[in-house]
Amino acid sequence: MIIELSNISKVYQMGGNRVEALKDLSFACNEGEFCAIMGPSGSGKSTLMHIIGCLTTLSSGVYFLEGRDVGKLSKDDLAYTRNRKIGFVFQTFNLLPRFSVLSNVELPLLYRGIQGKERREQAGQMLERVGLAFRKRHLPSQLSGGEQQRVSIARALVLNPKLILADEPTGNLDSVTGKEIMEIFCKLKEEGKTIILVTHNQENAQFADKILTLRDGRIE
Amino acid sequence: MASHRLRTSLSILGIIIGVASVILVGSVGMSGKNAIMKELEMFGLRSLYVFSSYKEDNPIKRKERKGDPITNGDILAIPANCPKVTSVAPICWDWGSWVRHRTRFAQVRLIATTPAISRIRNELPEIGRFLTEEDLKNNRRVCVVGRDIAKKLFPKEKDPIGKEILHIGRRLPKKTRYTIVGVLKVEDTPLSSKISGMPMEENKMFVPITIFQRALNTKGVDDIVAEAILQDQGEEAAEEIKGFLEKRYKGKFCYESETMQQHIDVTNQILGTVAWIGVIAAVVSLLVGGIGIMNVMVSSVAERTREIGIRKSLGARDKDILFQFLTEASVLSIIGGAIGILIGISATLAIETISKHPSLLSREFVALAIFVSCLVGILSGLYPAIRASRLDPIDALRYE
Repeated sequence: MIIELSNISKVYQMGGNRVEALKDLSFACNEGEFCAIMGPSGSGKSTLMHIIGCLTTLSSGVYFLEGRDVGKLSKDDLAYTRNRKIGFVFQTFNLLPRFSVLSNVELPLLYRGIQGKERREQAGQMLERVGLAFRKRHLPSQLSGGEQQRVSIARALVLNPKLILADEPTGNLDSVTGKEIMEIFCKLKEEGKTIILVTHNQENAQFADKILTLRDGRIE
Repeated sequence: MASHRLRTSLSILGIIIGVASVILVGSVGMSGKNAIMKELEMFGLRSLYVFSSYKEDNPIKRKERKGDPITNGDILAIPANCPKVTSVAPICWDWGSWVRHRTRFAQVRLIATTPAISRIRNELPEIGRFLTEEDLKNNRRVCVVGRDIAKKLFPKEKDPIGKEILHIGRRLPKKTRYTIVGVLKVEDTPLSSKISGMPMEENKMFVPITIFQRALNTKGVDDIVAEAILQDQGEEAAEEIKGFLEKRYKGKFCYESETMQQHIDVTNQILGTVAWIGVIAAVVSLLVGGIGIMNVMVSSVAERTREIGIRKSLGARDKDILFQFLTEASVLSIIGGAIGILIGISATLAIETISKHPSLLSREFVALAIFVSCLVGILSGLYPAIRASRLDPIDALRYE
């Protein structure tokens, strides 16, 4: 088990209202599994994603990532975990607009403490793998949506994490480009990555080994 | 930050002005002090006064304290008994007396003395000559007057040498005619005399002490003016003379002294204070510049919230974000500081050239400016950087 969530819940305050995003949810995912999380807006998909991605803490319950209790990690350890074990792919790509494509891919390496020259080499290789080596001097805004998403995948993969978290990665792309991106995820699964995909799209979910459908913070 | 070039440059400008003014104000203040010290030297840094004073607690009764506390004999005995004194001159005063030439009057400070005072106090004639030993020996009624007196009595003539003037004394009972033999040089030092409280006596009038003492039928002397062997021995030389006189009169009289050193100390203190007030004002403007940088950084953090979220999702620790923003603030202040130092140095050098006062630039203030601008950078960056580093990754990622 790479991910093991038992009886987790997440409550947060939003404008004075208590919002219970996740209620007593349990979920597990094996290493190498491709798992899709579906559900309507507000069902708690993104919150679940953030919890798995160590971006936020639990209100109750326990979360084991590779057998380690995430709730007991310090802030720095959480940053370390995000850096080494998890690769994020966002719907809006979340590339830094004022940095070149290459510098964007270098960022995780920077926070791992890798020196400049080696950083550029590794990032360049990763861009080659997604077929964008010729774009490395460009700014993200000069790239098409599909290219930008491939850059963000390259950034997610550059430190070779076991777990890839993708939050509606095709949401801002046309269907053809979306399909290309999904093919990349399938290839990654074949390479043995664990993939958690949050999506609205039934077609995308079909690639997954298992589908988790959320409604009002619970598994349907 | 690049997207807000104007805003960033304006805040850097605050630092530039602050740093430049620290250097400029500091250097000019210090060099002003040096210039005035140089002026003071013209009075003769080694010169000193000794005069008798009344003390309540003098154990010797007033009846026994008859006679003069200082006499011609004492003056003659001082060089042999006080090794730290090189030359000595007696002085008798007639302050607030008048001189007249035909219908013109001028108020004067009559100083009856010997030629030695010329060297001790740097009293040099501009035209004519100073008093001589011959004048004293022969009881010549001659005088050397300040330029103001010459101007008042002889407004049209360039050269009043040889003219006769009538002195109307306050202490001296008789009106006396003197022939002008010299007019004093005016030292161009009005500022220092105002600051140190040393009056520039433009209405001085030097006459032979023999004339004065004969008129009053006395051998008494009001003050002693003397010169110490070495520059910093003014105080010690004054103590020697006081000690000698007290011993000679067995404590019958008390003496006080005044040295150039005391005036220098006071001047130093006042000018130092003035310089520091300027520096403090400049440092305040530096701090204001720092607040400008803080403002830029706070808005920059707000605008880049999403970037902070992305960086955190990629594994940036709080301290990485803190360091990033602290570095940016420091770079801003260091750029501002560097430009400010250049401007400050060039402005100081420009003033040096114009005012012809060399070596104004003070290393201490350049160092101070560098130190304060770095400090301002770190302090002004600290608050925004801490705020940035503590952002919750999710909130930051969701920020629009």
